Amino acid sequence: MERRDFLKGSAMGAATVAAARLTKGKDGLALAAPAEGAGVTWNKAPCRFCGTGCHVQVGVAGGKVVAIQGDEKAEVNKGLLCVKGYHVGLALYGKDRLTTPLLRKNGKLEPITWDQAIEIIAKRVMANPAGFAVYGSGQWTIPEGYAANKLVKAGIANNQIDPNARLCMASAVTGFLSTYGVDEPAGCYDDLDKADVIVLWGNNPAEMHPVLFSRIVDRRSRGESVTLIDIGTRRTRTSGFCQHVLTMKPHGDLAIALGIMHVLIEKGTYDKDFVAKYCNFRQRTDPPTLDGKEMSFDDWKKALAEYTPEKVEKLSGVSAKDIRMLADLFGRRDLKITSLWCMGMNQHTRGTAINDLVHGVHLLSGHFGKPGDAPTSLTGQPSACGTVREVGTLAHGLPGGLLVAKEEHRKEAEAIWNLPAGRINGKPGYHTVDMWKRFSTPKAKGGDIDTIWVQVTNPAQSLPNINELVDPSRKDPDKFLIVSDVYPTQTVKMADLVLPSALWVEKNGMFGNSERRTQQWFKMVEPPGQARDDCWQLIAVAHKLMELGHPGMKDKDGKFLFHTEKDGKEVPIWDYKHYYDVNVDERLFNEYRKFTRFKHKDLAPYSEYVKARGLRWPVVEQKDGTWRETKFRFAKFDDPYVTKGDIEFYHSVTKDSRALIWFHPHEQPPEVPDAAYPFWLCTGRVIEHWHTGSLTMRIPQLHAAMPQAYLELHRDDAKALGVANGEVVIVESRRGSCELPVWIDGRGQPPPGSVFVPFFDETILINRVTLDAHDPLSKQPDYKKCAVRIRKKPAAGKV
Amino acid sequence: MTVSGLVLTLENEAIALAALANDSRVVCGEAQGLRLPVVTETETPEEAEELCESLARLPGVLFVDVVSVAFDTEVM
Repeated sequence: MERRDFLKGSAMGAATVAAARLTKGKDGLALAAPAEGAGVTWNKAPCRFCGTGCHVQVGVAGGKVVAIQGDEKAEVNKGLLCVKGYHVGLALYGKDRLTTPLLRKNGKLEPITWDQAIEIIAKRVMANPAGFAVYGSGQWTIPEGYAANKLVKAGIANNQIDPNARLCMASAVTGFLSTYGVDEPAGCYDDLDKADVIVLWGNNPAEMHPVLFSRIVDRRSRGESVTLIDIGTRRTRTSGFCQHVLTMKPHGDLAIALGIMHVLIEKGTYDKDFVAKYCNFRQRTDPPTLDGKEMSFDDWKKALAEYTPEKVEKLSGVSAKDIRMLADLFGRRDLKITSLWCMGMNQHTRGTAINDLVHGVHLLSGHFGKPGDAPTSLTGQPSACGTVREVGTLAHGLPGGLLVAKEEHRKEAEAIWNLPAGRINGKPGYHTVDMWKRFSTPKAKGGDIDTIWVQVTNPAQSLPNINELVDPSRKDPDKFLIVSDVYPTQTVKMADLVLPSALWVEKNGMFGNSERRTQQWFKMVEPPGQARDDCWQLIAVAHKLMELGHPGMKDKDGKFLFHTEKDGKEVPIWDYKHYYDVNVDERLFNEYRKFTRFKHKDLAPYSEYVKARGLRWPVVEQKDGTWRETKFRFAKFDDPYVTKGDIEFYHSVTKDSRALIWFHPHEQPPEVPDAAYPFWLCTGRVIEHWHTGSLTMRIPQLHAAMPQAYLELHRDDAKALGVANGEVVIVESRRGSCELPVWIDGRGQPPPGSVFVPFFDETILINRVTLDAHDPLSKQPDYKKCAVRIRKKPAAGKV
Repeated sequence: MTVSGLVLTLENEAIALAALANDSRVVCGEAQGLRLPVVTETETPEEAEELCESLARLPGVLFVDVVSVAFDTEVM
């Protein structure tokens, strides 16, 4: 059979199975991997892009990825993919892959050897260990993040590590911690198959999580009834599918949640039994903490009294009638309601508060703990949950939800890592904004971070207010920027040292998606040139540090921190020739999983993930030796750790198995439009591109579909400004400006007085304009609202 | 040459099939209720993208899900 015929047959087979699944639901269908043949071998991997966690089948021939197919065995996507997913293989083959280490000499990046590069990094650490930081991401694989965390917390022992996930889901973390005492959603994507009502809080899944959204919309085409409610500051592609589109003012979400709770109390339609059995009440303190201050139910109700639907209408812009409509839905016991959110609630200077309040709406109304009844946050990166939240690559974290500030947690970590007592530093490192501020501040003025090693992210494009957080460091000779990446991103172009990295199926890997699902894949093709695994780079630096005499790189028995054996002999995994003599991912993961028991986030042995399309934690061993995943946490019918009652919050903040319903008042954003800067600016993503576009802008089809960023402007504002479609305008804030073409109404149809700009385009850096103000608890910045002015770009020669 | 596997969700099967019959780049499989599996074969990935978008606009078609794509231009 010719390869063309084979691929056509394979494509038809996949499409037929997917059609059958969509029509009949998931049951009763024979599933099969794509057939081997015509020189194409297939293997599974999670998609490299968003946090949905779709599985793909990767077709390899002649040492190259040649085909991508949705994985029919994957519960998440049931064989389907989005426009980015089915092009994911092409992300490997951009023409400008980095293939050799580069060092800046006299202003130019010039090739050096790997040995030289590793030694330069190690010597920077040795010269000033306290000033060395690692900045990673939710695109790190789980073993990569674990290795970075161990290097920094067990080795260098300064806790200076933080990820870009601080910018995308830190407020979700603090919301889960302050409500339930432990991070991550209780429910999972199965809720989307069962819910009668889905409330989208500042969320645009039709573009950002399209396969999940397709899963919802497909229910409708099977004749099921699903009510979709879109609450946001602009219309999006999602809005067109929703029965209710509630356009709110920025920060209006706080008022809306308070208004819903007010009506539930006023009408007595809250779930009295659920509240009496499972909830306590809390208010914030000054300064705010995750524990807050105790509050009686009566005092909580008094605090809520002023948030009548009419007042909420004034605060939020959403009508009192719609507030009552929402409250009436939550007041019904016969419906199942799921809330979804992502950046809209998280990139918010009151991010923890709005997360708390949405959890509170669900708890107060008892829409919790049954399939279809869940408050569920989504993530934007493929392993924001797996690598950041679970491995603990945040400046204050240790693996498994442990904290550096807690002595008992440090002792547990030191025991697992076989470290001498007291090795782990109890002082948290700097959160992202602080880390980069210090890197961009001269040493003499308190800028005590002098070296940052960036892996798998592009902060010179994605940090807010980059004029202040990044640019000054590039003019300071004391500051040294190291970047591991696959393409010459904006950050690579500014770096002092560049390390070429392997990407996705060019290495072994594991991700953890938004629904607690841990996924595994094997290396399938070789990386180009001298590109190497990020994990190897970290281990090689650790070993070089040991050779240079750094005391932290050995455990208490004098063994290397990443000591690895095969058949009783040490394998020199720091030497790339031997890195694949063993499965380093398996070695690191099986060590890491020892941490996961403390917070009941149990992971199975590595070998179980090889067999599965991911498993949702806690994954608990059964009497017969098999491993069982958990779909619904805290609910007796599914969670093996529930020992009393139907619902048990076994990491309760108040130690009484109850969750917390918080009161947080509505507050205005820190910067609002005024006479000088009269527009709201919101930033975000588009369906064609992922994050800073460093991968998707190199995929010809995606680049062609959306080649350049733009400014969405309401047509009345365009008329008032005298600008036409495609005309270039200058968008300015108090921090900076950029120029870009206008798209009148655009996809998002922003309301009058507000504009939207996507951040994927490295030629138009909208983060020169955004604000670095952040939530006081999560430290997550607000990219969704700041004040700007718009003016037409003067013709050449005019000012 | 690019080969893609798609699932078309149909509003009206007869109208959609009539419209699809005019395009030699599209091979239809056996409909599963209102879901029609199809394979498209185009000269370039760009054309595949355009074809996919045009299928979504055809009368009788509600929307299009993409299931697979093979972009092995060197060997095809």
